[in-house]
Amino acid sequence: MTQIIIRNGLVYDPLNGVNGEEIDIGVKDGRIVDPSEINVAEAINIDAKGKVVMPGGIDIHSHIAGPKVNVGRLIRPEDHYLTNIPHRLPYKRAETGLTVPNTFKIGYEYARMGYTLVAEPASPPIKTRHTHEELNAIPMIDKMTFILVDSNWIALDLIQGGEKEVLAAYLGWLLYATKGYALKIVDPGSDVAWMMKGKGIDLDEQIPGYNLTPRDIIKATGEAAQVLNLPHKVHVHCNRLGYPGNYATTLKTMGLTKDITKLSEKPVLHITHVQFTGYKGDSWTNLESGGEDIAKELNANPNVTLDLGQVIPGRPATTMTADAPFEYVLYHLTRWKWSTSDVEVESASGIVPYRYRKKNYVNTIQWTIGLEVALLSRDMWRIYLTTDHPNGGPFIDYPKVIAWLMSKKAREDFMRELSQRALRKTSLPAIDRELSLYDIAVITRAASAKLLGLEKTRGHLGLGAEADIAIYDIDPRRVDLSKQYDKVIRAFRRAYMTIKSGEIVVRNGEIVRTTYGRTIYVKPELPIDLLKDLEKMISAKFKQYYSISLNNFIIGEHELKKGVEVALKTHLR
Amino acid sequence: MAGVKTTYVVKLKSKPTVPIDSRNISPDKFAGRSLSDIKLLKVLEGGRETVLEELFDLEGPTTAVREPGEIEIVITGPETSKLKYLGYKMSNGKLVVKGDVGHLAGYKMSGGSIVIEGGAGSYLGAKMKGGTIEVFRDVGDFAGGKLQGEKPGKGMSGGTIVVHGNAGSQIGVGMSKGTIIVEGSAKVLVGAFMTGGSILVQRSCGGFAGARMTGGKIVIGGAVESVLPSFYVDSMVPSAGVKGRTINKQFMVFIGDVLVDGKGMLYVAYEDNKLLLEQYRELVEVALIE
Ligand SMILES: [Zn+2]
Repeated sequence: MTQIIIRNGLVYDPLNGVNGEEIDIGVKDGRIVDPSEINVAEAINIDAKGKVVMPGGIDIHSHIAGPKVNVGRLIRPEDHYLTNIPHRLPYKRAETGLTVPNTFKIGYEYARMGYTLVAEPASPPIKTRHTHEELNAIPMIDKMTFILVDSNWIALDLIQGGEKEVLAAYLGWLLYATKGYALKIVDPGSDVAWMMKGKGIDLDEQIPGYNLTPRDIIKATGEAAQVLNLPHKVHVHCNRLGYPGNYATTLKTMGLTKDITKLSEKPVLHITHVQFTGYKGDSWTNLESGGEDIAKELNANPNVTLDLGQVIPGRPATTMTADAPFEYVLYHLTRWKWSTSDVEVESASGIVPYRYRKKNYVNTIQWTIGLEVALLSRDMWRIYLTTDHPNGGPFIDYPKVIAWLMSKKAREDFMRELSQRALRKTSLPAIDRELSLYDIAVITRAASAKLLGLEKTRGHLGLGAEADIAIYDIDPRRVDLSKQYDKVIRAFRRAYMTIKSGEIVVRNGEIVRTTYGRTIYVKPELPIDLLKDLEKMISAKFKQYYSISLNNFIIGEHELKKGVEVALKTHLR
Repeated sequence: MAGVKTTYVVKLKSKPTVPIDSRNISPDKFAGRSLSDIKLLKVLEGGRETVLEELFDLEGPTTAVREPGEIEIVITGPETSKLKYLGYKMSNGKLVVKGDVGHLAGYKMSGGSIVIEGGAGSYLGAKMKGGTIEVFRDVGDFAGGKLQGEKPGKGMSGGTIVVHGNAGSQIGVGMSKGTIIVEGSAKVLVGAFMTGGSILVQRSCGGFAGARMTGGKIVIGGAVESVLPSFYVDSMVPSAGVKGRTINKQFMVFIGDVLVDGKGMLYVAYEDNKLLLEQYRELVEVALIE
């Protein structure tokens, strides 16, 4: 296999504490090796003088696959006009789409930005076969999917019955049956309430038909994740998302970490796209940012992590979520297109196109929340850069977010185009902090790898790590990153080079080779006796609840193009 | 438009087997260029990129005038129906096609004129902002329309399309301004989603004319398949027309589409649709008596 040696680059590798040092990096057989092991005569020599070298980017939350993405494509043909790029055979397929791109474009654009691993964060179990089909079709990157368990009738029955062990075993079984990587909770209990009563519910409201509240679901699922020893604990989309005043619910949800019995050192809950659940005020007209309060709670609570869900004003977005009641409300605000659906036994969902407008009061407040949280956070290892693609904006705008985080001038220049009335109500204009390249490497790769429990082999450039490397053409010794932010955007938008599993896939910002990455999933080990009882229970519940048979539900290993199993030792006895 | 001073003749060398993206055959692209430069303008033959002179014989002055308005391009050949995107975004001048054209002729044009001596494919003059298009035979669907998925009002926003033959479905879909005249008949959904502008179909049309229209005017001079129940009858008038073209017969006037709070006007010839419209007649007469 290919041998590569990268010389003279400025390396940013936070997991190994490397902050902008000139270190040579060797690549052999898809892994990082000591440069002395490289046969220089045979190796590809890359001179990275004056360039930044980082581990490949890791996106922990981006809706890139599954039926909802496909429905987004179907209801938005206008998203594809004028974005078509013809194929360039033999190594590049045709690309199309902006907020809901085709599978090829998703892979290519991530690779062009130096990203090498992306997590699809919301797949209803019964629809996950489709999710894997699409993940299979996305080139360039490694991927994984999180499984929705927030309104799952079988799980709700077990939580209500207080059967903690069985619940953990069921969720473990479910993850392996669907080849998922982590558990995702979206607006817990609300899809049940939505189907039965046509409304969403708050953290402490009762779920219709059950003697439970969303709080119980988060707590029970959180503990099950501990028992299962999942590498990425629970991924939570809070209740009341998209409603003014919801920051209070978010703070309460963050506080739930206290009630969950910890069995590992890692943070207990991950609160996702916090911008959408960071609204202060009691109506849209007096909306304010809850960013400061959320950052304060984050700083005080080491057991919680957050991703931003940054919105990008001036760009179209396609909102898609298993939070069906929220999409119902959004449709009635936009009155253009809406797709809504029930997923039997498990979930519901909605899709509504949206555009964040620069001059809009609410959209400006939304823009400030994500940035405030990031800039006021003291521990960069517990926040992650996302736009909740394509909900807050397309992932191709990450470089813009990076510029806003790194440069006060970038923020000030952009603020001139926004609603001034809204800005007067936020603390963002007064924040001077500018993140460093090291911080950016933390929130886009090192911390992300850690959050996913993959820090041994991913998100760093130490010996033995997966050879996923991004080289960006920017020299922090020559460019004033806080002033010349347009250069930062350009460098991160088109990587000088991306190396995926030891092969060069991008050169000068363009694809030079199409490869297909792996799909990573977990297999929690379940004691045989427990598994037998569990299978009896599941097959009975399946007959009672589902319209399909159990055999058709389980996804085989052969259905993944390149599956990689992570076996887990659990605390189940 | 300034007077035509120079004429280019662009002749297909042979009958194409695949669609040809010929958006560069336009007065705007020719203006100010030498003939040898013009010959090197890009065209797509199917997915393959090539140059004009490989597919076409070109005749004309060695240097084109700077003003697109003074340029006329005549397109001929054994078979021109595979030419797509003719007159794309053209702003001035004249295009004459001695035969049929494919889809998207005059797409987004803003001025000048296109004369097609045969028929045209779909999306003729789609999203055009100005200028005139005249077609001697039949045209396909979505003439003067918006693209699928776009909001109402994103269709044609100015200019005139005249079709001497028949038209397909959804003509003027989502148009906001401008005029479409069809001398033959049209298929379903004439003027659906239109927010303004006017459409005249001299003969018959299919059902759902004016569905979800919020403004503008549709005149159907012949038989209609149906009138949507979401249109209110307003009155009877002795004649109707658009842009100086008047049809002198009785028309029944409807207002709709009320499903979207629309105030569009739909004129339907009375005698040609007597069976369908008789029920409304009483309503109009009662209103008159009161
Ligand atoms: Zn999301």
